[in-house]
Amino acid sequence: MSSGGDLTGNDVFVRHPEVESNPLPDQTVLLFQKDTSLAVPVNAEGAAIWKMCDGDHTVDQIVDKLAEIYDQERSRIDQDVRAFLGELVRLGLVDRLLPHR
Amino acid sequence: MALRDMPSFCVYGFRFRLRTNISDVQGLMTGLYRDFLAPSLNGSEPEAVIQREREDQFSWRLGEKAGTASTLPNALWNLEATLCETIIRSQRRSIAIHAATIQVEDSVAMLAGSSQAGKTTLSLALARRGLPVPGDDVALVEPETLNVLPIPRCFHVDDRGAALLEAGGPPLPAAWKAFRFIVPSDFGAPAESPGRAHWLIFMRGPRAGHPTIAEVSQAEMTARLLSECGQGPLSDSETVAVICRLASGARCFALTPGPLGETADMIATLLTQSKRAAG
Repeated sequence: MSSGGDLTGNDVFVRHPEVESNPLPDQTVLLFQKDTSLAVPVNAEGAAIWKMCDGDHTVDQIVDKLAEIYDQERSRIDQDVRAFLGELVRLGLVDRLLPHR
Repeated sequence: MALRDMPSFCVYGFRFRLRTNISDVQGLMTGLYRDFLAPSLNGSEPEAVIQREREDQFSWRLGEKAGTASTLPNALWNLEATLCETIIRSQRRSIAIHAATIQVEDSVAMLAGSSQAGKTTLSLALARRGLPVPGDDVALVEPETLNVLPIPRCFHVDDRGAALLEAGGPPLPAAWKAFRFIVPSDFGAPAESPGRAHWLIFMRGPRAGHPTIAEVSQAEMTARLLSECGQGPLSDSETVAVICRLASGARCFALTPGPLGETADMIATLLTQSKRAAG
């Protein structure tokens, strides 16, 4: 898995238009990349991050939001968010936009 | 010896007529498809033919597919596998999932996993614990109703699997020794449509010293089941949506199997106790 170490706090992501998001009752989500037929299960925390890949939220803002929800150290959340976003980029599920200034 | 016309069947919309010159074959195939007997359409349906050519050669044919085998069990297996493929290909809506179906009263558990995961042996062990297994390999899922329709198949038990099963209970039915051909009805699988899946269980390896079962997310189960779906009649997106709905209504588990008896006891307890609790 990508560590996401090359991401900056200002990076912004947008969901790839060919990816379908299938929410399930247990709060998990199945992402389905139509181009490649890749199916990626995502847990509830990942689903929250996925929702914020909307072209508006920066990495730092995503971390802030999750820190409000989950009782974990911010540094740990930051690490998890970066790793997850790095993986989404690697799998072609999100596109990284130019950083917000 | 002349070919004799035998019963006709309609399995989930696919009609065919059996023809054979081997007296035992009618009983075996009728046992396999006993819930799908249907009136013949004036002989216009495809023929599933199996015949003895000489002492050590048997031929089989279904439509354009045909072959020969040196033993009757091999010819039966090849014909039966071709029938299964054809039934799957004939579907206009239903999705085929590589999974065994275990009936628990009016609902079912689907037991998925790769070809060598041990679905058949575990299914048979569950059947011998009183849980009917109407299919051990492939089930169709109707997109609209989410009903699970198991395709009846001959259980492919090897000598090792048979030894394990017989070590934990009575001998396998006589048709196994004679023809290597045992079918769901040998274990009392019911005739009616088994309904919707309330449990989805994915077998993962390798086998451990003791079995473990862990609840997994519905998204993870959906991804697992998608890997067990072949090319079907629906678009990829439609298939994903159906499998998501299937998982949405079920409890989802990953099973790491251990010794057969221990594993079967654990699954039987899970299914019967949670059914009782739900009832």
